[in-house]
Amino acid sequence: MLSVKDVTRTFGSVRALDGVTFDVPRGQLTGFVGGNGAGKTTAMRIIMRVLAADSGTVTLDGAPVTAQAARRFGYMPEERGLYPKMSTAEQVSYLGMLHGLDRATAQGRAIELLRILGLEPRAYDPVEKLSLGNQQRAQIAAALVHDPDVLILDEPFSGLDPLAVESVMGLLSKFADRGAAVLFSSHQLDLVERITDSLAIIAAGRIRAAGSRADLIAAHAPPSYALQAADLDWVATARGVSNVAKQPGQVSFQADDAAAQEVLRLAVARGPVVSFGPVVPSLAEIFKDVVEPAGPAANLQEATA
Amino acid sequence: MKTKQNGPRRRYTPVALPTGPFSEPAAPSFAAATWMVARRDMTATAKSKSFIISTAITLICILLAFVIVSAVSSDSPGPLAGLADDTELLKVAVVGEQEDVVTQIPGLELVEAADSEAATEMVRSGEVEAAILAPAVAGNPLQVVGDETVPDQVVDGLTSMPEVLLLNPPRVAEMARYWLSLAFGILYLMLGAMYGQMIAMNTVVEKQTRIVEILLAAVPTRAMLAGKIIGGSILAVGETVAIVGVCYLGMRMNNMTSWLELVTAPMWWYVAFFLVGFVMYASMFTAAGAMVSRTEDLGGASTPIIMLVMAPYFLVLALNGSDTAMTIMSYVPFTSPVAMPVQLVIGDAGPIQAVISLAILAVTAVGIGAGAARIYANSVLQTGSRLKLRQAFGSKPAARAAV
Repeated sequence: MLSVKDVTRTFGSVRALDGVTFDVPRGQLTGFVGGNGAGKTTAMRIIMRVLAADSGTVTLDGAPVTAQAARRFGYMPEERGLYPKMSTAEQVSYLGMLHGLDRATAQGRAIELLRILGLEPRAYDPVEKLSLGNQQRAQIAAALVHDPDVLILDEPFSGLDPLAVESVMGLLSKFADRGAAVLFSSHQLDLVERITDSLAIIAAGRIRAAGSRADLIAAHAPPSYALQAADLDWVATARGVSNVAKQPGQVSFQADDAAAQEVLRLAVARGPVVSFGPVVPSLAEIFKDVVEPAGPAANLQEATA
Repeated sequence: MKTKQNGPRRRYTPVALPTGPFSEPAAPSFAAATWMVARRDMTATAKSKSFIISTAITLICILLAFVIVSAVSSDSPGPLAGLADDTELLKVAVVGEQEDVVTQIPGLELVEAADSEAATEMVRSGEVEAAILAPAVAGNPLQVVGDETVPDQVVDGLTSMPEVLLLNPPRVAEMARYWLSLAFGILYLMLGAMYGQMIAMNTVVEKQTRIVEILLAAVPTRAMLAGKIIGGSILAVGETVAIVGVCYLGMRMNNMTSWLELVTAPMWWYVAFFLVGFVMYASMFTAAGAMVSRTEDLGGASTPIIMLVMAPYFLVLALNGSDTAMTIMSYVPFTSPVAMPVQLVIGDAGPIQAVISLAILAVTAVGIGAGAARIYANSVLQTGSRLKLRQAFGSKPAARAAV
């Protein structure tokens, strides 16, 4: 497990990271979510030791991440960069060799990765002739060529078409299945929701929520239900019910288990019920809930614990 | 034309990605990592069309210059010739019995001398350019006596190679000193600035594209820096050797044997000085490249270094008439790569002085290299505005750009 603990970093008068703590478990994909300027990239650069933290630690399986340890990691920086005039296959294999692979293995894996990512037909073209999406794929191959067991990927999915997203996801899942710790940042919340097992949500340099997806949902969505029936006006006044939101033919509300069951009984007594069930909030909703400054700060603190 | 294939001709053979537990490849040694970086830089440069074309043009121009020289002047100008005017008859003293041999040579005005002593005296006084004497021992070749030099015409005109005696073996003429300073200086300036800029540009491109973050996530910073310097230096010295080689070829072609004898050893000294001097400049150029974030900003950062590269050219050219200045400049690290080889040609310095000067240069290069390493490590991962030298050098730069 990769653990970031109490990492703080200040640029001039701006506190970019403030006591950032979260874990990236092995065998899972961990999504790193936050708005622009929230501190995702800074945190990732500190994990990679490209940037020094003012305080705090980064450990891998309990041992501090040294420069040498970080050299094993697979890294995809925020701003994409490969040599513009060098061919994709050449530079992916070059990076493999810099990581200690012999030439044949480095070249073989480079071309295999590019094949999986659908870039094989352009593999011998200089990078500057590739479209942005294709450069992005090349960049992913560059991060994976030395078979790293820790992946730090800054926005690996941005700019990819749906097919490419699938192939990248497939690749990353294979790494996770083999026991790699995979951290990736993304703005695409629906995507993160679909593929991640755990999450860290950051805003203004602070982790607002972190942990497994199920825990996060449980922690950030007070039990919430939706009821579809003909007559709904009475729900707002039912006992133990709060935050009632009415739409035509449907009402959603928050309530504990017992109160919810009582509402259902009353509804059935009043007439036919079309549907009744718990509402699972989307990551986007949780994100909004967690990040919004007006949100209940106390709850957030609990969630990070 | 657009279908032209880029990249390696040989296609890579795919290798299945690893499955099962992760196995760590052993990290390459420092030297291996350095060499990989150097080799990549060299290959990337050597493949670029502009590099191939400019190098070819340079070499061809030099060769052409020699061809033109040989076409224009049929007889080979020695470094010491200069003053002899071809249109006037050359006065040569002869002693009685040699007259028959000599009259066949065109362009000579013969002055009879009573004996060898008298003929030699005429040479010494400048009355004649040379004296042709009977061999000291019968059966030996003729003797030709000159003051500082013997006109080539005389030597070439004789049917057999004479024994040449000089009354005042020459110090190299001022002209030679000037032309050599010019040649060494231009070469140094041209190659130093060109390859230095190339290294600086490579460094900025790496920084600008951020590939340096990926690279430094794989190899130690010092290996990266050393690789860039070594790669650039090998190319620069390679071209220097090629140019020196072409000059050598040209001189051979033109039969400029006296020049050849004079400059062969200093030319190789020059290559040695260039190597060490270039490593010094390359360190500075790399540091300059690391301090800026965009190629557009490179000009400002590298100007002071370009001026340092130009300094030896202008100083040596301007001051090559002054012995004192030349002696001082041949030891000062920034000018010695040009001044010392000139001194060696003239004979004002020998191998011992050259080694001392080279050692001073090497020590300076190591010191500057260490400073450059520090600047590079502090700056190359920092983006944003151009760093001030003090920030780049300090152990904890005050303001790092955000994100």
